[in-house]
Order: sequence, then C-alpha cells, then structure tokens
Amino acid sequence: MERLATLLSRAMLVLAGIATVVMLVTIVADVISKSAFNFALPGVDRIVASYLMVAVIFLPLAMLELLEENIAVDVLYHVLPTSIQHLCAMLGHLLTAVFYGLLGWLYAGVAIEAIEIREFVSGAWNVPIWPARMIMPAGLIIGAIVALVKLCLILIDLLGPNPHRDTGHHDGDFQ
Amino acid sequence: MNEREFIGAISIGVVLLLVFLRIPVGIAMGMVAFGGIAAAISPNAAFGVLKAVPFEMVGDWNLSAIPMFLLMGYVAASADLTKNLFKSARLTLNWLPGGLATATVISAALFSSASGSSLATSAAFARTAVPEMRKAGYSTSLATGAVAAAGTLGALIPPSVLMIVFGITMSTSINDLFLAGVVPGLLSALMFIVYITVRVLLQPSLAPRVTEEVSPEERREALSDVWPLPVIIISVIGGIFAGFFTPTEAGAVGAGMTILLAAVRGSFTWPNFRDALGKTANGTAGIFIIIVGAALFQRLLGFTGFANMFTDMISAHLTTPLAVILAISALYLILGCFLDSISIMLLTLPVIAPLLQLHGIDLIWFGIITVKLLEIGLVTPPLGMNIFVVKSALGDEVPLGTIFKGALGFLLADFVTLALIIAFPFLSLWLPSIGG
Repeated sequence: MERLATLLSRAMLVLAGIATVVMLVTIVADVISKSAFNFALPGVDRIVASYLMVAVIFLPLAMLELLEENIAVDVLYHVLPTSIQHLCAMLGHLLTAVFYGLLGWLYAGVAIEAIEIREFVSGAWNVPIWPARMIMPAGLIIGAIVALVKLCLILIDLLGPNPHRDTGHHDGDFQ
Repeated sequence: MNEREFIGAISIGVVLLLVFLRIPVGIAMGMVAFGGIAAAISPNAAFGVLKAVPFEMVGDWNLSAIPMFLLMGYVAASADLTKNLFKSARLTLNWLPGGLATATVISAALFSSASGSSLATSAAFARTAVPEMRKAGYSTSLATGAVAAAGTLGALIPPSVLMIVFGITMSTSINDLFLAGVVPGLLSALMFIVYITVRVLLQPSLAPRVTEEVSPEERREALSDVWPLPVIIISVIGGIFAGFFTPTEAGAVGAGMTILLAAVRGSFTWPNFRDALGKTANGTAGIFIIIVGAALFQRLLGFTGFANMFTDMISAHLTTPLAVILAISALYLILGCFLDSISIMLLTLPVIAPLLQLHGIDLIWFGIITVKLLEIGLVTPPLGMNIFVVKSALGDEVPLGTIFKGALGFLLADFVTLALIIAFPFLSLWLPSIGG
C-alpha cells in the first residue's frame, strides 16, 4: 500500500517536472519570438494556463501529502503529548482526503462534461482543452488516496503489535 | 451580531485552532470555508463556491510566475553561482570598519534576490561567511547576526515569491510590487551597512581591521567570477521596468538564464536540476493550496457579512489609514514570532482586505510594508526561522542566544527602515510610477 502510494506520487511528480520544463521552454520561446520577430506564438497563454500550470499545481499534490510538505504550523504541535500528535496527524490526513476528494469529485464532473462536448478555446487556433480537464481530478483524487493511505498507516501503527515503529511522520520542515 | 456573522466569527476561531494543531493551513481554511458556507447559506452554495474558486484561480496567468521563479531560485541556490561572490565583496570592502560584515550584507542581498529564499541565503552564508569573519577575529554575535539579518533582504529585492502571492491574492500588479520593492530593499541593506559601520566605529574590538595582501591576479579572478548573479537580476528587473515582461515571462527568462549560466560555468548537473524541478513542483502545489484556501475563506467572510462587520467595528477605533497600518504592523510582528510568512499573509489578508479598501490604502505600498514586516518576523525571537537556520548550519559551537543578540542591532536598523517605508510612501511608489 505504502509502496503503491510512493510509486504513484513519484510518477505524478515526474510529470509535473516535465510540465515545468515544457512551460519554461514555451514561455522563453514566446518571449524570443515576440522580441526578435514581433510575432507572439499563438495559443501559448492557453496551453500554459490550461495544461502546464494545471499539471504543475495538481499532479504534485500526492507527493506533497506523502512527504507532509503542505505548509503547516509547528509551534504548538511540538509541545503536545504524543497521543494528541497522532490524533492531529490523523485529523490532518482526513481533512486533506475530504478536501481533495470533494474537489476531485466536482472536477471529475467538469471533466466528463468537457469530454462529452469536446471543449476547446477559440482563438488564433482552436486549442482543445478537454484532455486538460482530466488533470485536475486525477491529481486531486490520487492526492486524496495518498492522504487516506497515510491515515491508515498511522492507524495500523497505533493498533499494531509494535508501538515504537516509525510512522514515517516528519516534524518540521516548513518554510 | 446576527447568525451568519456569528458563523463567520466562529470559523476564524476554528481555522486558528486547526492551524495550531498542525493541520495544513490551506486545507484548514478551505474545509472551514466549505463547512461555514454550507451552514450559513446552503450546502449548494458551498459546493458552488468550492467548484468555482479554484477553477478561477487556475486560470490566472500570473500564477505561472510562481513555478518559474521557484525554479530560478532552486537552480541558483544549487548551481554554485555564488562561489566568489563573498570573496570579491570581501576584497573590495575590507577597508571599511566591519568590512567583512558589510561584504556579507551585499553578497547576501544579491544571492537572496536570485534564490528568493531567506532561509537558503542564511544557511549558505552561515557556512561560508561566518567562519571567515570569525577567523578574522570578528565577534561571533556580530557575524551570525549579520548573516541572519542579511538573508531577509531577498524578499524585498525582486523577484520575490511572497510578492507574487500577495499580488494574486489582492489582485494587484505583480510587476508594480516588484518595482516597488527595489528601493526599500536597497534601503534595508544600506541601513544594515550603516549599523555595522557605526557599531564597529564605536566598538572597534568587535571587528578588527583586516589587512590582506591580495595580488592583482587574485583580485581580477575573484571579480571576473561575480557577474552571473547581477546579470540575471538586472535582466529580470530591467525587463519588468521597461515593460518587456509579464511576471511569468520575467520568471521564465530568469530561470532560463540561470540554467544557461550554470551550464556555461559547468556547475549545472542533472541530479541538481531534477531535485530543483521536484522542489519547484511541490512548492508550487503547496503555495496554490494555501492560496485557494485563503480565497475560499475570503468568500465565507464576505458571504456571512463578517468581513463588513469586522471592518465597521475596527474602523470605529482606527479612524486614519496610518492607525490601520500601525495596528496591522503590530499584529504582523506578533504573528511573525509564531507563524511562517506565507501563512501569516494568507490567514490575515481575507480579514483585513476590506479594511484596506475602506481607508483607500495603496495596495502596492501596503504589499511592501507587509513583506518587510514578514521578513522582520524571520529574525525576531522566539521563532525567528533565519536564526535557527544559522544555528543549525553552525552546530553546537554557537549558542542560540548569541545569534539572537547579534541580530538585535539589525532588528533596530530594520525598524528604522520600516518607519521610513511607512512615513514616505514614495520610497515604494516612485519606481512603479515611472516604470512599466
């Protein structure tokens, strides 16, 4: 279960990394083309906003949850007793799963609609954006699944025979 | 207070409680907003808002500036573009009283501007500049304080991710924020330098004068290696000033140049780049979640009428813009002792945005004040993150108290800068008014 979550998260992060590089190249190419030839590459803003940015935002959610790198505040947490810390961590994963799950479910509806009507944005050329609509729910739902996995891992750990096993829970590391 | 306003008020308490229980800030705000709107208006309205808000935010073209500037920062930090930065600053400035500390301030300002991270800057200079200063006989307190304080300069000197987040949340021009930060950022650095110089003149034992025999070749070599960072920063800021770039384009050009220069210098490695890409993607997603949470929460406070009620209530006591600014400054300084910069900004902006509008406070100017305040929070006890970063980079040899004591003087310099930024809005607003 843990391995699958790690594997999925890593794959999504790789895709997000590729999207970042493509975004960088596209925008730089557009800037060069605009300043050198006075010609803006058509559809760049649409592609960046609808595809690349969506990928960079939503695909890493799973890894973010796996590493527990979501921006959080540690001030009080450290002085709480361990049992309360476990409760807080479980509540955090649960709320994250519900939040991502709700959003993922809403956007799955949007995606299905977009696929049915083959949604596109008209402009210099008609940029089809219906495939991009699937990125949001995919990232969110996998993020929700990873949050549930993390929740289960803490539960297994608490209920399991060896209470001293590492929960894989890291304190700190927020900026 | 009617029932809806009461729900608004309660939800602020619930968010704070969840945040202190270490629930991710964005998730806490988002879930409370969803529950609050469902309770105050209707579940349908809650679903509607939850569906509409993230969707609108994703469509914001400026959002893509975040991954571009994060990438630039991570590549700059890992690509060793700073190798001789401190050395050449040191060779140029060692005639000044406290010259090594001043050299630290100047090179850290450059580095933190490009890396965009106060923490990364303080960590890097704690390892390079602090040992050199101590070797030269500088007081440990002055050396570590200078490094902790100088790290904060990057958030004001553009490009700055904090400003992008502020600009997106408050719907203000990010380019104007960038330009507005230049003068206050340089002013902050100048104040640090004045503080160092005066302090060392009064108490020369803190920083013995360094007499270093340097061959012309050595000097030339050190200087010839300094150009990459200034070139990148000036291109980015210059392009924005001239109106060539949108923030996203500036970020992409900056990231592209950083990668190119790192490659030219042979310090660009695949593992570093892969690492930078991963951090960029994670960082972007993390910032987006908290921006969305804040946007949802802002809707809740608007729908329930709490935002208006709160604004009316506060305005009865704080009748002038200056009073509002001072009250917010005090609030941020207190929060800065406990929370990190982005959390403070996004937890408070939904509540105070209507107050700013009511008093007609210039949002660009306010953005600069906010960023300065948040950076001051990085060096104030008990939870100045920069102090801890310096401490962990140096290990057991320096006690925490020594670093805090050293940072105290720089904190005073910062308060003078802050007072000047508040007293003279043109310091921030002049550059945006003639640029772009």
